[in-house]
Amino acid sequence: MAVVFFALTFSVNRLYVQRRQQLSSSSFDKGRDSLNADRPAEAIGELRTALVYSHDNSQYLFTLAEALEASNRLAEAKSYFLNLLDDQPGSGPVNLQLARLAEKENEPESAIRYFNGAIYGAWEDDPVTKRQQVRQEFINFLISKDLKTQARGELLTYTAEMPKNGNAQLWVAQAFSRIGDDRSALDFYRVAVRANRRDITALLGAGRAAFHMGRFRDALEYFKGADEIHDDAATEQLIQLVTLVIDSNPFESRIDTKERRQRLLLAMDVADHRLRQCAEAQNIDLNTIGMNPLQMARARWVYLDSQIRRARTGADLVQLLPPVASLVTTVEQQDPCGLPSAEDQAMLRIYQNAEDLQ
Amino acid sequence: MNVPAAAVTAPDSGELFPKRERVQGERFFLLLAIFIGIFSGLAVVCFRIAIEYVRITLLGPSLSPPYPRILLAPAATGLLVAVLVIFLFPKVRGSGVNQTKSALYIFDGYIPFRTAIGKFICSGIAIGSGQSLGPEDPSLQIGASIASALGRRLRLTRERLRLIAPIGAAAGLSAAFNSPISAILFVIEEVIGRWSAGIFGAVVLSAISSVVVTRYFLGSQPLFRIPAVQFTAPSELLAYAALGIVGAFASIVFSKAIEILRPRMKALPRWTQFLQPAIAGLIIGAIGWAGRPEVMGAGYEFIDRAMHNQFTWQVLGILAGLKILTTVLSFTSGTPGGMFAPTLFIGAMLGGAVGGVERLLFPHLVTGSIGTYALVGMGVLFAGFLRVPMTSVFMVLEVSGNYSIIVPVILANTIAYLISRSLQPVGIFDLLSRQDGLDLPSMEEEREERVVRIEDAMHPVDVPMLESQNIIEDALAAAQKSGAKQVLVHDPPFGWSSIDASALQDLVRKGDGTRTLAHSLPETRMPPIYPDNRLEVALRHAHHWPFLAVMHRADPRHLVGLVSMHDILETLGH
Repeated sequence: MAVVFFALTFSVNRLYVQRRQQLSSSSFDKGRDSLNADRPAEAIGELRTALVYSHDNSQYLFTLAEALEASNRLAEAKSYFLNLLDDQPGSGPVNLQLARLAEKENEPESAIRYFNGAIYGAWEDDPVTKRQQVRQEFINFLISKDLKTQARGELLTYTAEMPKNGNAQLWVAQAFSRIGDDRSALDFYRVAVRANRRDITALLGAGRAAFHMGRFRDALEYFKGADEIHDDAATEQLIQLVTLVIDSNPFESRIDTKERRQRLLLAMDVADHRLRQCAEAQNIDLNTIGMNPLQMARARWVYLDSQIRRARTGADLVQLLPPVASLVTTVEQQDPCGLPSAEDQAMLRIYQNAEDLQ
Repeated sequence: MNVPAAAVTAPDSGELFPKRERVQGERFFLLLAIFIGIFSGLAVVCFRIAIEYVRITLLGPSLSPPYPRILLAPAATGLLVAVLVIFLFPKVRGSGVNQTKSALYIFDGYIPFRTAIGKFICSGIAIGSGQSLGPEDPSLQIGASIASALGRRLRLTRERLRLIAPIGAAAGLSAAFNSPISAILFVIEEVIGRWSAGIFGAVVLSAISSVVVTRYFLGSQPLFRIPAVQFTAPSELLAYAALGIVGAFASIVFSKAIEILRPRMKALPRWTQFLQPAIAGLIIGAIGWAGRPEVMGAGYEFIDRAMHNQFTWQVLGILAGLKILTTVLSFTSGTPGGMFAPTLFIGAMLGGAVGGVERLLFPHLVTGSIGTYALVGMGVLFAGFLRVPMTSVFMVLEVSGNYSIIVPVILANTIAYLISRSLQPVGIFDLLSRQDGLDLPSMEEEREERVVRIEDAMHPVDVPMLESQNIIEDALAAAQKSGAKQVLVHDPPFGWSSIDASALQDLVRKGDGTRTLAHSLPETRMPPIYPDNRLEVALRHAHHWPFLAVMHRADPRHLVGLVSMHDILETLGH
């Protein structure tokens, strides 16, 4: 009797299992299609039905969590991903999704933990590429959170294992540029340019990095290279700016005393104009002596202007370079005084890095 | 001389069979328990599959059934179930727990096999079509029916047959719940009412064998997935205590509603009984159609979702309230089906809702997930509504597999249980049996009944105590000096005995006064009786002896008192 009952139950159960599989896979297919068609709400219903007939199917659970995330139901999605993580603590995709959720929920500590889990986790297809992509995403996240030191560390790790192609070199250069490491950025831009001399992005990036480093002539070369490939107004403006910087640079060693005086006086004129602009914006009388920073700058300006005009030798002018640089930088960094002109930007660029240039 | 009539065995033993036959009988009983488990497991697998097929056929595969199925299926099947129950299976009404208790206490273990068939068909249709009931209690009754049928076929003794229904019940519940420990505890706590070594092994074996069968066919995954649960901050116990209080009041509302509505529904004219399940089904279908299909059927998928924080606290609160309403309607309409699943559902929703509100009001207090509160909430309703405090704690631990939440579970369940008991003294199963005119023993009351022990009845030793090596003349002198009608004689290593003063006098007259007492003692000795033994142990032997010696457990030669039949009857109030 037991054997007959067992056989009967076995047969019934077999039919039941087949029916469940059929229902779960058809619901899953519908749900995945809806998700791919950007209809996450529909997808959620279908995927939930699929899970009724296949409780522990991690693929279904993962897709449902993705659909929930796409519907902006972050708490629910997180709950599913966390359950999946409990089952597969080393799963790269689950860790990555949790990292993205933590990023959306502004939980940087959790995001960093999950990104690391994703980088060192298991990936079924092409794990090397997947890990590189995750690390790129992680670096972007760190930069967005202004965690530049950590980002730099991850970037250096990435460069050791990155694919040797122009796109990767360019991405790395841009990332270095975003964290303010112009020297490394320039190195990678150069490699990218070498790989493709007509890569405008690389040329412009290299030009900007060189410009920020005060290597104005190199910057001019890169900008001109970009301009030759693609005639663009923005590039033209950059060329003008760099040219202006080069032509107005009083720290240039090869210029004579007259030229140096002219350049210093030009800087003083631009600063004077900016100072008046600022005073007007803040309704401050520059003719009155007072303790306001603008009034004090004006007093310094009057003193230095007379000193420049009275200087007789080149050595006298060179001695005036640091105080003029200090004054110009102070004035050009005043805020709010309206949008800075190309001359303002050029002067700030020249004098801000006075020590480097000297 | 007062000579005991029969040989005395160990005080708790009531076995009349010879030892060998008894051991063989016990082994056969254990083997039978395994088979009961296998049969019950197979039956429950078929039952669960049947429910699922009915659901897919009538409501469709989706969790949100389409109109008009959602509205018509529960109502139409309600009509069908009513006809089946009234004409073919009148004994399948209700959950099945009380029917199993009735078999144990009233019908000598007899449950017609027809009941199993009827329960299978009617509950399967009702639950599958969306009536707000669960499959566990019917599974319990199906298991008990199968066990009873097997026992009758094997011509078991009346005593064995009476015990076999709870064994089947444990198997059925274990298979349905996929939690053998909870099933064993429930049957012991609610059906049998006591820990009995004679039946415990059989209950365990049947529960385990049935769960093995179920897992073979349906897999070992739990009915709902348990999220990561945690309890870290002791201050959060306040939040769980509040959950216990809210759960207790919800339990009272739930049981009061059944208490009030059920007799009124039964008292309505007979023709209305054909319509009651259909009307209940129509209302449930309308609630589902109005946007809350979660309350239909057992609802395990939605417990799963509540556990994973997929409802807001407002929705959880609404679902808890609606589930109470729909379950009361389904149950009081006479639709066969169980209350375990609805209790779990209400508990999970209520727990999640309370956790959500507490998190909103006291964010620093609530550190656990909503899933943890839902899990604890299930235990709370088990303790407060079903009134099985031990099962409620172990159920939560068993389904979660996590002992870290034991403190909040015990706290919340105890609070719910105590409040529920104080405001609703009669538990739900006792209430239902009393409404049905059955006077089944209340396990809850029995648990709290004061046990009368021998120490409550005994009196100080007031007769001479002698050694068996003393001579008879000395014993007689001691008896005459004290005025006692008996003397106690210690006869190491055989124990204590007593002898009449008049018998001693006769022996002296016959010229045996110089012989030792050992030669005149009866063949048997007093049974070893201790102060902490139940009084019934002494009662079993008291009529053989004028009094029984109550011994010290650490030193059998040291007597702490005597107990006579007069003492026993006086203590029992006769």
